[in-house]
Order: sequence, then structure tokens, then C-alpha cells
Amino acid sequence: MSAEPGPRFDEIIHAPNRLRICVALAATAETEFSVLRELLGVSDAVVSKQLRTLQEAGYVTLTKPTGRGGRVRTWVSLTGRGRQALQGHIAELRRLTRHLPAAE
Amino acid sequence: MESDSGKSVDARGALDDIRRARGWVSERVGSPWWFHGGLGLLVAQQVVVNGVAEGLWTLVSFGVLVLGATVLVLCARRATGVTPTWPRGPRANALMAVRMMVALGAIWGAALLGREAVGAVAALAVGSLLATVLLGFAYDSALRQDIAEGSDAG
Repeated sequence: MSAEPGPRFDEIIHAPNRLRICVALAATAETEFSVLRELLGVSDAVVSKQLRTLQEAGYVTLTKPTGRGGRVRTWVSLTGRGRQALQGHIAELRRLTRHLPAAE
Repeated sequence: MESDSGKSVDARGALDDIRRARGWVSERVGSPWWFHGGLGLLVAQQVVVNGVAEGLWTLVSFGVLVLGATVLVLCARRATGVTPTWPRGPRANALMAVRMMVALGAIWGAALLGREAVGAVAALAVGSLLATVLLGFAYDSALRQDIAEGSDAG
């Protein structure tokens, strides 16, 4: 088992939509594109753009097995690198808020 | 450059967002209603076959169990758009272990009872079906709770 990554702010993950995507992917082995679109409540183009950014960073992988009738479903999963970056980012968010007074 | 206090306020918002996203995902995971029933039937048929037959039939039955479970998982994945990770939190891990022990116990118990106790084997099969269904729903619920609380790598 790998050690917990230390706190590290990640600009790529911090963008709200990408953060939500990464959190959703961390909770699953694979998630379908349409589920992520539903989570974000945005258009396909916006989801695609966010996924492309995450993919270029090496944080997610996309697979497109051809379904019955030729329908292509895109499945997205978090890579080991993406998981580490998310853990580090969440640890940093916790570190940053440690000294703040409790929210109302 | 952003100050640390500005970042802290932003960080709190991000942590709230993470909690909301986890809550949303936790509602999405879980199996369709037919999944646990199907799995229960597969376990029950293995219990019956182990009790009343032997040799090749038990192997065929095991093949049906493995193949059927694979088909169920693939269909559930297709229906929900989500593939849950293998047990992930303390509650889900514990319930998965209990579920497997109950199924294996019933299969093993049926083999011990044998053909002389067909009634008991049938009761064991019904019991294993019900237990698989109930523990399956309990597992889903535990998984949701584990995800919502962030008992995962993220």
C-alpha cells in the first residue's frame, strides 16, 4: 500500500467542475460520461473540456467500448496519479482550513 | 499571488463542494433492484445442486454461478453508469465478508446435508436466497454511507 501523499495544492484539480469530477471518480472504479454530465449539470462540451484537461495531466483515462447497436459509451476512471493528486489536494484544503473558525 | 487566508476561504468552499459531490455519488451507487435477487437465485441453485447432486453437476452449477454473477455485474454497470470499486470502507468491507461467508457456508452446509435431507437443503437454499438479497441491500446502504463519509482514497 502506498503512503498517504502530503498536502499539495493542485491548480488543475481545484477548478470546481474538475474537483467534482475527481471526487466522483475517486468513489468509483469507472463512471460513465453521462453520469458526470448529470453531476455537473452542464453540457457535453463542458464535460469533455474538463476531462481533456484532466487527461492531459494524466489524472484520468477514458475508454470507449462500442456498445450494442453501435452506441458508444465513454467510461472514465481516475488514474493512480490522479488519485494521489486528489488526496494531496484534499489534504492541502484541510490544512488551509484548519485554523479557520467553524462555519455557521 | 493569492494570500493564504483568501485561499483558506476558497478551500472551505471547495471542501463543502467535495462533501456535496460525495453525497451525490453515494446516491448513485448501489445495485438495481433485480441485482440482489438474481445473485440470490444463483447462490440458491448452487446450494441445491451441492446438496442433491455431485461431481460434474456441482462444477456446472459453479460455472452458472460465476457466469451469471458476471452477467449481472455487467448489466448493473450498464444500467447505473457506475462501476463501484471493490469494498471500500469499513462497513461495506464487513458486509461483503459476511455476505460471502453466508453464501459459502450455505453451499458447504448443503454438501454436508446431502440427498438424505432434501427438505433441509431446500430450506437452506431459500435461506441463502433471502440472506443474499437482504445482505445485498445492507451492503449497498453501507457503501453509500462509506462514500458519503469519504472512507475512500479521496
